[in-house]
Amino acid sequence: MKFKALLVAVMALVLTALGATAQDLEDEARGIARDLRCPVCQGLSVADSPSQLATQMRELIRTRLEAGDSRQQILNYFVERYGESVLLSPPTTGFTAAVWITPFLGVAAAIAFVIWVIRRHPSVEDQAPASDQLSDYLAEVDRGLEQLKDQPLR
Amino acid sequence: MPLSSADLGQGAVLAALVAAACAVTAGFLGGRTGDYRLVLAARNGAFAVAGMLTLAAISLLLAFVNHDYSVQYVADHSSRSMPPQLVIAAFYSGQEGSLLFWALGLSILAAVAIWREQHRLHHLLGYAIGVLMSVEAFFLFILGFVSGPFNRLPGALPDGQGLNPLLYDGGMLIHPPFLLLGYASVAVPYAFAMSALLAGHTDADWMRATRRYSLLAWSFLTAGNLLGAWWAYHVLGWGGYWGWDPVENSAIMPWLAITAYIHGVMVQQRRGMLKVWNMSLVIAAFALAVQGTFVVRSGVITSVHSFAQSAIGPYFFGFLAIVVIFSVAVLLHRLPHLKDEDRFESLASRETGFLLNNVLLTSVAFATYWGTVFPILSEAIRGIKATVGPPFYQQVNGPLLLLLLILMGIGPLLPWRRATGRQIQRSFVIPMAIAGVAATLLVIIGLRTPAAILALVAAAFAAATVGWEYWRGGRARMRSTAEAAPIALARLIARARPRYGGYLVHLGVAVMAVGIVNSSFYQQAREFTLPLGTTGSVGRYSLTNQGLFETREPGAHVVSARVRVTDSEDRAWTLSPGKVFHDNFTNQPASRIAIETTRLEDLYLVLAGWGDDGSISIVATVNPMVVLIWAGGWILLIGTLVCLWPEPTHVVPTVTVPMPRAAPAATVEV
Repeated sequence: MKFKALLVAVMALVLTALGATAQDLEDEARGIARDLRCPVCQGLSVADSPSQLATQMRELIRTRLEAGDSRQQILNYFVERYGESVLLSPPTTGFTAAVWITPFLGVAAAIAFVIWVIRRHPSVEDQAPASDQLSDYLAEVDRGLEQLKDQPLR
Repeated sequence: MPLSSADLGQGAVLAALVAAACAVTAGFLGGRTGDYRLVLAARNGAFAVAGMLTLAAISLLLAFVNHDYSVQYVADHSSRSMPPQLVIAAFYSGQEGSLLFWALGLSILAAVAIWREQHRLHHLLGYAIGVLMSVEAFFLFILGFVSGPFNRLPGALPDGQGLNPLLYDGGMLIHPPFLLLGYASVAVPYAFAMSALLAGHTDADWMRATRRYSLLAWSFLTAGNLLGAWWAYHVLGWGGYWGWDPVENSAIMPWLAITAYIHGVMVQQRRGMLKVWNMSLVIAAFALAVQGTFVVRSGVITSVHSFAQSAIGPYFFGFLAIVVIFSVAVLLHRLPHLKDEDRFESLASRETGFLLNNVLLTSVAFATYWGTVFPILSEAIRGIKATVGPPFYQQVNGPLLLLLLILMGIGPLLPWRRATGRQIQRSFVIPMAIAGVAATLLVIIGLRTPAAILALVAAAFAAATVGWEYWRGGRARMRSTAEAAPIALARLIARARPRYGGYLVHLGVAVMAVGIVNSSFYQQAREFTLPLGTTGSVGRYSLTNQGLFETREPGAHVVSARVRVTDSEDRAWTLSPGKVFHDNFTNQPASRIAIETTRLEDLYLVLAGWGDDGSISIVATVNPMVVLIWAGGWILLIGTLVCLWPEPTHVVPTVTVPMPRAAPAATVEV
């Protein structure tokens, strides 16, 4: 009796573990498929494409994962067959490193520009802010707030 | 061959081209000499262009409705078996028709803008008409001589090709018109900005007009992009709504530039700063809108949207080059007029917030632009195609968009000029506390992905800021006017529409962010082949294959699977994902996706294939909170309408907020 209970428990554990690995494998396979371009489609990843080739590629990814291949090995395999353009995420080395570096240079340049704008000399000293009906109204709202701020809230 | 409505249309396009050319000449001359008779002539020319283009559009519509298959464009894009609403929508389903739609949209918007501004902005009108009609003239030239929607075939065909199967959907009725109008409408603020520069009147006048029309363009572009996402989600069948496809990128870039402008111009209105920068943003937005039109309708870049290819590429490229060179030259020429009147006083100020907002938005636009053109560069430089896909944009734009979301919470709480420590304390305590509570709750319910938690907390913070601002304003009004809460709130919004409408837009964005974050981080997908009668599971759902069935629709037949779905709480549905085979495109079946929404979660089924034995291949995706993206879109739309709602023509300036000598008795009691 005790043995049987133990057996059931162990089996349940094994089954959950198997279930978990099945979902993990599925997630891993999907992650790889998301980084591959469907070679016969226009602008779809292997994960998203309904085409036959993409379906076969997804199956191949699963088979290779089950056989113990790593993510990088699988990606390399597809690059050998379809060329570098099969990768949706270009390599961070070599020529394509430029695609990754440039946006950061752009952000850095923009921040440098902002610092320059904030720190440069004023052209006109302390001019009163442009006033229109709206800002008058809002200023009054703010003044109202100032008046009321020390009163206790109900 | 007998005359048809198409010949009338062709005539109208040529007449519009002549009228536009006259308006360009009269407009620029009138702007330069200040002779108002010339400006009036240009105005009438612009009205004539709108009239002629309306006539041309009606002619093309008639050709479609009458199934006139002697017109090539009609024969290529419609057929007798199509439902009438799609026959009408086929108007803009190809390159020629969408360019005609673009030109029509701009001509009408231009006519309305000229009519509205002819007295207030009469000193800018000449050049503005000149610029607007130059743009029109370019499109009319393309329509008349390069890519004509009215070209006739040697004889009439018995039936047409029909619409591309992917376009065979209700989304076709709304997404393309909004996006095309969005692109076209950017020309209006651009024209007023250029006329301000050309005329040398770079004061506040042009800004008021430009701000309003850029807001209009912004709402068209927003609606166009959101409807595109919604359509992709419901039709394309890859379980997503945004794929960083080149055409999507081209549509989001002018939107980013205008969003930056709408924020940046507030600094200029309030403090007289960022003048050159704001001008540059308007110019960039228009150049990007032209580029977007060109990319979407020329097929230069491979994309899921490549429905049309032809020789317009070089013309558009030339036009784009002229626009950029002309605008930059005019801007540089007027640089001395664009001196900033003030300076930044403190890092902790509203204007610094706006500046950062602009930096982030333009950075996203730049990264997107760079990723879109990089494949072309790569092929030109080393002859190897490179692909820049969604992973790049997610990794580069993701963090920038997160920073924007955080800033959306901070910015509205900062005062102009400089914030004191006490002000910061008073404004930030409540929203920060709400964000803290949100963070705790998220961890308690089991979220463990730091990026997702951070983004959701940022969205909560931004939403809390909006709520806090409404509450603060409403409370101040209630205390000073003794109005009841709903009345105080309504009047508060009515008195400062741009401000409180803008906050609603922020709230919509925050809600959308929650949907985007959840559906990106917590999407579950399974793909399985189910023999007849067997069951597979995804997430908390079990799917049982109950067999295939076939139905016949006008012009198509549909193969569907009957899938019995039960969830973990034993609720059950029957869903029927299928594939549609249109008679003229049997080799291009379109997916008919089944979506079931329960508790903010979409179960998304695509029928991928089937076997003779009744087995089916199903791609099942569980998309959490995608509905919040559409809900956020509605909030955003309402906010935009609040901003755009015309002010009453005679605002009584005296009655703003009556300040009581003493606070009403009720409020001082403890």
